[in-house]
Amino acid sequence: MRVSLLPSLCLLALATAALACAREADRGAQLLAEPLPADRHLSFASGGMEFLDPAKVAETAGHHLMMNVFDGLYVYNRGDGPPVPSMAQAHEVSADGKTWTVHLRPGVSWSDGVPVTADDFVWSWRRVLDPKTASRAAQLLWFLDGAQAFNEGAATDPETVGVHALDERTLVIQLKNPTPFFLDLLCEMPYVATPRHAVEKWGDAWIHPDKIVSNGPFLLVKHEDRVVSELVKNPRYWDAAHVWLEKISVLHTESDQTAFDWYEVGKTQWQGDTSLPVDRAPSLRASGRPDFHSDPKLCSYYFSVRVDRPPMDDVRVRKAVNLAIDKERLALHILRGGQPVATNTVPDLFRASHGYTPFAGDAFDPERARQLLADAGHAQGRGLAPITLYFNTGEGHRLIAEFVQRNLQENLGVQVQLANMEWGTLLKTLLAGDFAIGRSSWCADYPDPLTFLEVFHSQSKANYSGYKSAEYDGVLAAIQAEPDLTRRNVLVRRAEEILNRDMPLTPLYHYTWSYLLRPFVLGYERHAQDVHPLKYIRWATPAEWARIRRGEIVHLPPLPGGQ
Amino acid sequence: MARYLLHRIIAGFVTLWVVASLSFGLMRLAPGGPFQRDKPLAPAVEANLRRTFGLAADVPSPVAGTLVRFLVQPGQHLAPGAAMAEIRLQNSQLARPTATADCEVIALVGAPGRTLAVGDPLLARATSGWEQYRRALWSYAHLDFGVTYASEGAETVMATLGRAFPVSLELGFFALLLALLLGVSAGLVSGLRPNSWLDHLSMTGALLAVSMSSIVLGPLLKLIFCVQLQWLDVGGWQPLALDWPHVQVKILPVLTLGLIYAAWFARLTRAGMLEVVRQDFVRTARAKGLPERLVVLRHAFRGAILPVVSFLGPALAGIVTGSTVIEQVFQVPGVGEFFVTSAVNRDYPMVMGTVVLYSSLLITANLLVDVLQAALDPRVRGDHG
Repeated sequence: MRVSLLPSLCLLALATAALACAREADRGAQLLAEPLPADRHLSFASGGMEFLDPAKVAETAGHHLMMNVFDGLYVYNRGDGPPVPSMAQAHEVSADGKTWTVHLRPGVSWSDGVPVTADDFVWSWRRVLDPKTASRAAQLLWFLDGAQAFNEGAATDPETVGVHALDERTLVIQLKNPTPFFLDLLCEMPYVATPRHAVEKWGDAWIHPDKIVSNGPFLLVKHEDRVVSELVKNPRYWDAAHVWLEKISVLHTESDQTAFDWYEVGKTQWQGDTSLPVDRAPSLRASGRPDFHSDPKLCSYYFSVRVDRPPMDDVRVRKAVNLAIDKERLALHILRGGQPVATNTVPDLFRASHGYTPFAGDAFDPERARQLLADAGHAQGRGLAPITLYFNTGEGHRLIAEFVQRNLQENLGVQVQLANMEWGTLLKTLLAGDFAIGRSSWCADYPDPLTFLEVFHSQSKANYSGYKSAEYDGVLAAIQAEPDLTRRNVLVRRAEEILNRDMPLTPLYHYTWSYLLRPFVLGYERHAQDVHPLKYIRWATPAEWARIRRGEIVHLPPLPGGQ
Repeated sequence: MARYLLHRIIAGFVTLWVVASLSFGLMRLAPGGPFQRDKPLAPAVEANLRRTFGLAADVPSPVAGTLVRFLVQPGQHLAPGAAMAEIRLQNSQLARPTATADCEVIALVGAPGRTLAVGDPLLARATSGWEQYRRALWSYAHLDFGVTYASEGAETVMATLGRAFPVSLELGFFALLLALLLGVSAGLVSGLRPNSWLDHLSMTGALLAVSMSSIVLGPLLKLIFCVQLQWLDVGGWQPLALDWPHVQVKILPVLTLGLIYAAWFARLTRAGMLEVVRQDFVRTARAKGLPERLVVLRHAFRGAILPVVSFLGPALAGIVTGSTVIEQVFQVPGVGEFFVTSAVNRDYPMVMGTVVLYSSLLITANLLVDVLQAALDPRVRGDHG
């Protein structure tokens, strides 16, 4: 009797998958049976941080740690609510939206007891912009009047930067344009205050745990590079009464597997900013474990399409390529992380904050794609040389590229060659414009649709497509100058329409962020920029824990923000 | 002997210079650059960063006046004599200052309408490879590798390596100790009793360990002892901390690194022993009626250990600078990681620091091994009858 190998193998694979799922389900029950920790000590994993100095922090790991040590005028809310006043008490905006007057909260002080003044903010922001500081994050301050010229070295007088102290507690900020998201910017790291008296006393060494002076909810008491950082509650923090955690340990690792192991053996309560191990992610997703979460993120994944290179210089070919990719199937079978399909570059996350409904671009339509390609004179891909798709090393990128390659072959008859390269090499290729299709992505610099649209400005360095449209640039300028949100949304939509018409990109999907978090940890709420201040974190109360164990979901609402 | 030593030391320095220069050149040839991350930086921000590392310099304006417009773009290559900008002088005439040497434009400084004095920066340009090389060699000679790009100037390469190297050194020391004790004794036993059950046992073990790379052995041990049994912990290595909470994180990395080298040592010792025991001088020693213990330890052992000693050079350098894989798996904050990350991130000073560190170790280890060999084996010294 012949036994066919294939069905048996499939059965085996299915059985293994079922077993893995059963194991994950057991694990879920185990997690809900855990007792509440007796101490107020949170541990999580994090990649190594490059800098601690808030003037220089420009990457996730450093940001996650230091935003709990330094406070700005405003701080991020718990979840997707508007920013909450912290060092500031209130602010007023002028009618043209360009002058902000911020009043500091009375009685706020540094951890050494010295009062925090308006002057501290002026000095700190100028320090970030000083060319000698060479801060990567300086660009986030370019929204201030005169900031760019001072940062470039064209102006040398710091007084030309649009931030001045009216008195000890009043700060006057001059902006280049009306900036509706300026309140969100005020929460960013380069906008926090740094202690002038400590920096001037210690120089670069001021940031070491034995010398550091800060004004945030937590104090940095230990930092061993690539090993561990420790924070403890700051008793002098103005809102200390509402800070629940006593101690935080950040265990550094670059390995997703190690971070996962730490979480599974209970050494950490949150997986931190590390990713789920690639081989475990699908079974974790399928398991319905109570500690598994997948949140949408303000990031977009797309292909840059070089608009000045045959055959992609023909907008019909660019449109055909976009129409021929079945993005729903891509999300469902390849990405498998609940990623929303992208028909344009702006993620659908601005409804609550801006009242903005994104423009729905072209959806999958192979029939129309074939027609457009035929109109361009390439029916069934005739007369088209193989198109090269460049992507950087990464299993996910490869799978996506292969999926697109198959789609274009099957739906259009277009041959696609894949070219895999290391990120540095790909970026060089993209910057040089020496490609037809290249993998790109963009994550929001600030929570506003403009950050995604600006990528395709003719002067933008990240505009790898070589797309130059005076009309589009004009709409962007109008968005920047428009103080009224409703009228601004109309302009944003107009910009999206132009992009969908000219197709300098092939949008694929918007990101989600999957992570593990012990079910008793509350106050970690969904946030589009993936920011979760630790001052809001606490364990569930016994009553809440009982509810969570029964399968209820307990959320802590956002705080009243704004003024 | 002294002359031989001096000769070797000079040759060592020459080798080091060649290695450093080659790596310097190769590094610059690699595409991409240290300031390319997920997002491209604004030219002015990149210029500020580059200035901190001597990778960019200002091009001053030779005249005073008002900037009308730039005639170049960031990223553009400038040939000598190419006009850079248009400047309206006080007497309303237009001046077009030109580039004096070949260079690449990194950023334009300021916008049209700006008032310029003589010497005010007009452009930021990239410094040439030769400028950088001269500057680099001079500071390397003073053991100054500069600051790491990863820290954007906040930390020197020496400080970073100074923190990581003791960790790798400690891991390497214990691993080497384990490897030598286990490997040489197993090899000796096998070599003295070939084809006995002991020999088969230790050689099968050695074959297994040699074939199993640390990328398999490490995660396997971790899975068993740290995740399943939870007897040991991962992460939090402190050099020279020898209490249980700190020792428990060191056991598995030392074991993984040590076992693999132990296997090599065992096989080499066994082969050496098998060869030596058949030789005339051992037979003579036996014929003189020396006890077997002395024959083995005093005569045979010295010969049998020679292949081990020659392998010790590269093994020492490899073990001490740490295995990248083991450091990754067990979260050991040693030097190994920098070999990979600094090259991927184009952290030029860090690459040079690690390359020079590894090369000096390799050169020193080989030198020591040659001296040791000479001491053990009269034939190497060249002073025998």
